[in-house]
Amino acid sequence: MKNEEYGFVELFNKIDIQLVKEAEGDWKKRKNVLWLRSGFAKAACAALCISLGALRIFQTQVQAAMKEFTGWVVRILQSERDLSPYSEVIDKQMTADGFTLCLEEVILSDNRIYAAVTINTEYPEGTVKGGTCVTVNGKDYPVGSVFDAAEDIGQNLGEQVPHHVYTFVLDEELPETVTDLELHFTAYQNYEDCLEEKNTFTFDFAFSATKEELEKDKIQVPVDKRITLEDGTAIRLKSLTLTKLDSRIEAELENIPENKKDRDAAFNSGYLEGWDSLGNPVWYICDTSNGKDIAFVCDIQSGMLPSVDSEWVELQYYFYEKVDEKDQRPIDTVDGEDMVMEDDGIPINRVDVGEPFRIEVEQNIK
Amino acid sequence: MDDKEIITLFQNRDESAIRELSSKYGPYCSRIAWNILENREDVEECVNDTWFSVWTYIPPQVPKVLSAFCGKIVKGIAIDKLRKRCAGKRTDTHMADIAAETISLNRAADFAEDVVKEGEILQAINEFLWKLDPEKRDIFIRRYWYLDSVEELAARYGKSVGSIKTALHRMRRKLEKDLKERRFL
Repeated sequence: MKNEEYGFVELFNKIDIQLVKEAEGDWKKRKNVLWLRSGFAKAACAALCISLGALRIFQTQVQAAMKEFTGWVVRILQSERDLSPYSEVIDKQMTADGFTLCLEEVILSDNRIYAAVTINTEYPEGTVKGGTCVTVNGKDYPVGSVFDAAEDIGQNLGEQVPHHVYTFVLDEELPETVTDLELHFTAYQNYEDCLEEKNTFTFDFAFSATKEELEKDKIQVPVDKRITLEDGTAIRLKSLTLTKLDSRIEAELENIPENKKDRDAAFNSGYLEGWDSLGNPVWYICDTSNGKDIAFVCDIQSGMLPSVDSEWVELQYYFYEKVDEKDQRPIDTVDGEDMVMEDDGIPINRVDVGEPFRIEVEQNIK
Repeated sequence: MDDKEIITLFQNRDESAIRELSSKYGPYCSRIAWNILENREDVEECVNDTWFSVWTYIPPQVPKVLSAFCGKIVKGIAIDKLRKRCAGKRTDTHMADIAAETISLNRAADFAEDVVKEGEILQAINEFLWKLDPEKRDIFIRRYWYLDSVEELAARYGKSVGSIKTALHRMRRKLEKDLKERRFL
């Protein structure tokens, strides 16, 4: 093959045939579900619905920080960070009607649970979703969102054995002491069943875990920084917490204008972006806003989390504003072509606010 | 007729295999060839050559995905034809745009000149693609495998031409960085 004008196109012609097949039909915007790339092609017609009680398997207490843990979370998230002290190795398997789920490993953070799961299925389009709540010490905690990192990253490990990391983002923080934890998953034979929420199979894993190790290594620093927007609203950053898994900047709004609705929209699109002292790119998105208190978050899955070993984090606040096409500004120009941004087809411009600022991470008040 | 039955016809050297294949994947292959050649006669010739090639490949090959198998063959034939047609001349076709976009990635093809290295670089490209979110992956493959125009892609996702170009640009840069880090560029 020669290095000439169609060299790459000819090489690209030989990519994984499953990728080609996936892109063959009409585009279907997929919800946040897991697509399994199983090698099995057998068609299954099971209609049995497994109840919660029938599948429940209880674990006795599992001690954290085993020396030779599998490190699935780290491998799947492609992180170089050593998360071994924070992981609970569960290694418990359940099989029901064409699905086998194995909960490999769990890491607990303040309001997140990372669960590494291996899934095998007979169904070529088999789909598994994380549950809408997790049960902690007997109480149900609603899950604000749950997503599968491996689906985003598209990483397959091993021979046709898909490994996945589900992140359960809870609406409230986990208690300090976690004695019993149940994670729930729902399986569907195919995408249509998933959309219509029918023919479901549920899997519940119960075990014990703590977040003690992660708490010991948490960095907490006070921040006193105001970012003033054009309309006079100020975002006062109050504190930063940082672990090897995630980070959170708590803030509150001051001088909120009367038109609150516009303000919420602006904050929802605002974010902090920059670098840490080790040169890692950093990106915090606005996670919550209740009208006064807001939080900016980032996590290990984004690949843009500051390092706990860094001395400082330098950030700048940006937001996107919707504009008419005639007012749209390019974000870059490449090869003479302007590159622009859109949100669901609506032209947007990125607006930076103020100057970059630094948060010293080394001063740790915890 | 499903793919398995068509493949069986080829394996049994049943001449109706080509008729069935043509009936099922004629339009699909024609579209791919048209994206490259934009000439009816050339497209017909390519598609006919494709059926002949499939006849020689099956057996012993048994493709897992018959549509993509035919697509790969017709693309290869069409690009060869385009290369011969445009030898020494500047082209003003849809393929010229694609060639211009991928110019910085062409050196990867040099690296793939032997089978082993080709396998390594394809693995890298596959891994890159699997890491993309589904929509971005779809955009990249529809552009550089199916050779859809940017306008067609914009209509497919309900986005503007500009945002499609931006997405493709960023993904090409990312792939280039990836391949450089692995020393394939």
